[in-house]
Amino acid sequence: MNRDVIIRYQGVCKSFGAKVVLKDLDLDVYRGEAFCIMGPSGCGKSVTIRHIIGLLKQDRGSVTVEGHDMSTISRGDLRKLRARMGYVFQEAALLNSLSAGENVALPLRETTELSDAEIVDKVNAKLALVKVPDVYHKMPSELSGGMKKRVGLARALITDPEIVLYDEPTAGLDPEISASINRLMRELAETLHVTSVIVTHHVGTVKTVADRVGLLDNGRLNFVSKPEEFIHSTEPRLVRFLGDKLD
Amino acid sequence: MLSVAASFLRDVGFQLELTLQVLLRLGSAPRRRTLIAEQLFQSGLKVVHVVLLVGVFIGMIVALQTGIELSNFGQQDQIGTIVALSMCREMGPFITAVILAATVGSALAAEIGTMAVSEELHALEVMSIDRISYLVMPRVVGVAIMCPLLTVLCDTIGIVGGGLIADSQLNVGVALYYDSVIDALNDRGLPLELPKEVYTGLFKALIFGVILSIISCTAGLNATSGAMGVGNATRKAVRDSIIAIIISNYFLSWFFFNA
Ligand SMILES: Nc1ncnc2c1ncn2[C@@H]1O[C@H](COP(=O)(O)OP(=O)(O)O)[C@@H](O)[C@H]1O
Ligand SMILES: [Mg+2]
Repeated sequence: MNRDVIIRYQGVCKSFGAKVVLKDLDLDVYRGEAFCIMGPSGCGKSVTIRHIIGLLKQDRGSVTVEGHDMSTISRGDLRKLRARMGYVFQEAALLNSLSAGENVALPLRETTELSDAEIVDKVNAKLALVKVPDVYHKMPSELSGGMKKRVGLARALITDPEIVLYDEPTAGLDPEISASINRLMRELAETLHVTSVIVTHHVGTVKTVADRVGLLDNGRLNFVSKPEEFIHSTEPRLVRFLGDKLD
Repeated sequence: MLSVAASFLRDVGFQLELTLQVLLRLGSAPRRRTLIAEQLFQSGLKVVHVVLLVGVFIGMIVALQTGIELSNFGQQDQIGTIVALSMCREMGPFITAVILAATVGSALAAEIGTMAVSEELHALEVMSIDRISYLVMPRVVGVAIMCPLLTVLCDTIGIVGGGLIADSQLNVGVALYYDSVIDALNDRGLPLELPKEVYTGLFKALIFGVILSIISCTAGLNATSGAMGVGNATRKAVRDSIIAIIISNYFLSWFFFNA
């Protein structure tokens, strides 16, 4: 595999008030790989990936994406970088004032000159890809949590990003849909060489999608390894964490 | 006390900067016309009935209060002049702005505050969509246009309300009342032959519209997460808007009529 580092965390610390969330976190994510972050609820997984897209800034250390230091990046460079990224929010974060389809269309309407017909075609294709084909005109309030999540995924993918950050993309979805989302993430990585960072609680996602996986615990990433090694590890901490997730 | 002052100054700084940012984005208003139109509908048509109801009673109150005094001096014929000028100069813009602050301002703060706590603002940010151009500017423009328009309505219905009182309580006939209103609202030197009071009142309404929408958007954008976040933002929006409208009203009146 190409060992070109695309995302690098070096000694990253992040606290909210007195609460220390990240403590000397180091991580390299390589171009084209799918990296999974596991960890107990509230350990800072979302906080970790927010640094990659500039939604949070570290207190100490550095986060570098495509060679840009995220704490000193210019507005223009950040805009260009974000145009190449997609972010799947944990709670979908759809705009409630727009229909599902218009949510997905929004990045195209705002940042491209495509015609209305082209936009609608692209949106429908992406909605079909995430297995919610008939929701274009539904408002977010009419959708179930799992459907919103998939519309959020379609929105993140609409600009065909090179880096996709997934915050629990399969949480709350039924097993069949989860499996199809897993396959989709794997496909994006394999056919389009998308670099993915995936926060997940599902061992199934780790097995199908991940090239590498690590456990976020006490503010650092531990036991970073290939999925097979990770899942079958005899480390007591990992065994305890994975305990009920393996069946 | 010190922290109250500090947070007040921080808010004012944020509001001034937001106003400037909105002004800088007025150029994109044509592209945002759909959003502006939606805002005009939200801030206009939905509160017309409130403005009409409150306006007619305000006119009746002004007529009743001053009418009794005037009739002690046998001057009740002047009632039309007084109602017309005080509605246009003071009551119309002020009452309309307070109604808008309580209805549209609180809705703006709740709507944007909900977006802040449900990560919709973060979603806009990662899509590189400018929240000021997309969210704030259309709302400020919508309210700033609607406030003077509703003020015209409030002025008019207030004068009608005053007429009802003049006729029924003060024994000033409708014709006489109407004549003195027309007389008061006639100034050949100015456009449409309307007096200075009308124009300064509309200008005030425009300023009030900007003030209340900027303050409400600020409260929403800065809403903190948690169950109380949106509620606090809404309360702060209405409270601060009304205070700011009253204080700026004083300075605007002073500027136009004492200088
Ligand atoms: N903006 C914020 N302000 C204050 N605390 C935060 C903020 N974002 C996250 N936290 C705290 O950081 C910790 C980690 O949060 P998060 O990354 O969302 O956890 P998870 O691993 O479940 O995704 C939590 O205790 C949360 O309360
Ligand atoms: Mg999370």
